[in-house]
Amino acid sequence: MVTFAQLTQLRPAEFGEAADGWHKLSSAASAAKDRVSDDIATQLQKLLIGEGVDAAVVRLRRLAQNFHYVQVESGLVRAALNGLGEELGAAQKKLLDVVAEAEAEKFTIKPDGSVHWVEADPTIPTTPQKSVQGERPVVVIGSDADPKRAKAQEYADRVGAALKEATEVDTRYAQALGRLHADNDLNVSDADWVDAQRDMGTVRTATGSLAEGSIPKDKSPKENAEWWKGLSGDDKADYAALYPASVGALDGIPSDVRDTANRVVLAEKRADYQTQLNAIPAEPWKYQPGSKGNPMATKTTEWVKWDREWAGKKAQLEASLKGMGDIRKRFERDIEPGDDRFPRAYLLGFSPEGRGRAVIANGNPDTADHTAVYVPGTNAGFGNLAHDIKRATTLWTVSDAVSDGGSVSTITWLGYDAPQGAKAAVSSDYANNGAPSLNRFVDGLNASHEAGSPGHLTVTGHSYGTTLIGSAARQGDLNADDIVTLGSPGVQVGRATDLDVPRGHVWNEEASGDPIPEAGRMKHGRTEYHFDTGVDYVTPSNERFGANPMRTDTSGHGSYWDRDSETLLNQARVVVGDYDNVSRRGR
Amino acid sequence: MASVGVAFMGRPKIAFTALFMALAIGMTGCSSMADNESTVEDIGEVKAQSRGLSDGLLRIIDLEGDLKEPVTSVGTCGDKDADKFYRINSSWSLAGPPAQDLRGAMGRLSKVMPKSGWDITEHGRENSVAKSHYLKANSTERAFSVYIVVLEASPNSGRTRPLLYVGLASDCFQVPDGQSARDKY
Repeated sequence: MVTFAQLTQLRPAEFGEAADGWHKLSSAASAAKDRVSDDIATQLQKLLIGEGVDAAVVRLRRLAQNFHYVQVESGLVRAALNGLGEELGAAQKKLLDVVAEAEAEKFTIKPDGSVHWVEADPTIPTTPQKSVQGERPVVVIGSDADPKRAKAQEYADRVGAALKEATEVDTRYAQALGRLHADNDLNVSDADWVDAQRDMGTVRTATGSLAEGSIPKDKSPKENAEWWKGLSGDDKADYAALYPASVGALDGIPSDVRDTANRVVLAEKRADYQTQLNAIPAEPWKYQPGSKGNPMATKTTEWVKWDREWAGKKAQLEASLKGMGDIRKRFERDIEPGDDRFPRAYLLGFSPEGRGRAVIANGNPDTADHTAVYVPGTNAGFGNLAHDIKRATTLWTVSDAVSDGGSVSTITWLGYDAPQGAKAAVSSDYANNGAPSLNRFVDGLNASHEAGSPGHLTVTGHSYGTTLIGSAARQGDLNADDIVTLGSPGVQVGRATDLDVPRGHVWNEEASGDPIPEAGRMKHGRTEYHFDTGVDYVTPSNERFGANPMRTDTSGHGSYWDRDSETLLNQARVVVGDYDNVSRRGR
Repeated sequence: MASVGVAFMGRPKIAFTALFMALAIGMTGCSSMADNESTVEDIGEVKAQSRGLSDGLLRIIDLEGDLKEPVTSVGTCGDKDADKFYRINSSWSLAGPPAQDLRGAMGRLSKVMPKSGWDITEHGRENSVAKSHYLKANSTERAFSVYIVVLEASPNSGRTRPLLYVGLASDCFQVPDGQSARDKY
């Protein structure tokens, strides 16, 4: 029970100061984490080789994990303390208002919360002290029928209400803060991260002021950017600490903020999914030998039951974990001697639910002079994420080498459910459903890009990814400067000028022996009727389409990023805006 | 990007057994492998070979300027299994010397490379607006190929000066048993 004395004497600023202390700790832990993994571990590997170094690096990576955990948990303590200070401050204000009003009317409020007044009636020889108390058995001193009594009672009740409110706040936060403790060991286990996820939920529920509803939902990236800019530093830290998944997914807010938030989600979800996977019972023997009458081996009943109950979930968890592993490996990339230019990764989007979403940038697009967004095609997903991450890093290395002064960012955008298998790739649904997300993501990049510096944006797609790009331009506005299509089965529209970018800024590649453009055009190309040719299914490879045909020297559908090829260099030349050096396909 | 001398700053990490294997592979040269097989080699070893080849090319170029040192990364092999198969890509560039010096370097390369373990497969001027000089070559000693272009600074190139670009890439390799290429970048 918060007493009158406690609430009046409270210094809410103290909670803010304590919160700042935790914020310093959280920031320090975050910086330490980066130093350990980006700096120390990689420097070690540069200078020494051998088993000793490998073991040291493993320990250092664990240390980085510990720092990450400290960063997250102290962020939660901070948010809780800030919330506590705010809400107690509000209760205190109500109390102090009552005291001020009461004293103005010549009432006195004693330390126990009782309201006293003096009846200045000259007809009564003694001047009885009168008082009432809120929510307690009323103690009456003096006679009844006192007009001041009603007023006093009102004040007493308001005092009681303020104290009750403060007590409720105190209890709520005590519970939340009480949960925020860590194991007393040096190992941050999966269980610790699962616990951190729970702690986040607890603090969220406890803090009354920062509700999830206050985070913009279904607003434009520009509006999201404005919202974020308008927040105080405190609020930004609190939102990121309490709602990393929502903050990380907001197109329009700064890329480094999204990266920090999404890395927290990644750590928590990975531990969560691994824990769930560990809990699945072991797969029983699948087959039993045939019996006398039926010599064929049959499936055991145990296995059939297990398969029905667990197989799907196991497969899903394993695929998700594989993708999460690929992302973490990208973060851990070793720096080889002489490779100081390898770009830092930014996790601009992440959610493992369903088929999963991952958006990984090489280099910060907010500050880059040239940014490329790569949209993968059929079969892209968490089961083979490393593949598509590597395509973007390869594009980065070539683009950066030819850029001569301009900084580069390339982004793997797995922001949609890609069709799995050739059959699924026949459907336009995946492209049409995913397209609006691409437009929003691109708008987000434009909104978060540093004001005043040039931002040249190329959107490049492979295979079915180009169909999504076409659908995006068709359904809404794809606000890019250049579009590159690689091995396209069609982009739903029939002309380069339908693709939203300025005339002359659509660039196409069809490698020799790539069967997809031919195979897919009836479904994804634009069906047209022409006097001279009859029915035509127009794709970016058609002369009619009007794209710039870039020269290729690779073969096959999967080789657009392979080798030291003209195929790859042409993509890079578009990315850095070196249009005059793009080599064209001979006619 | 500071001006540097002839060789790159990095020192490859070569363990004894890898060097032995490299010599063995070098002697056999490019072999024709079945589609699901490639020469087995340690990633670190192929990266080291890549650096060696880049060093050699830079020596032939013999110019100083703003050098963007090689970024050596683990790349994909078409759609092959990313756990087993990889290639090593390396990109670097040199800017600063005037166009005629860079073109001169290109000329030097086309003369000297055939004598230093390279087989030039294409050279000339690109089919682009800028018509930049280029060459493509395969190494006869290692399983690598290279693409070199002097990117001219023409009006719509976004460039204020020419840039000599070198893109070096290995054939597809297979990681040794027990290792995984997917985790490496």
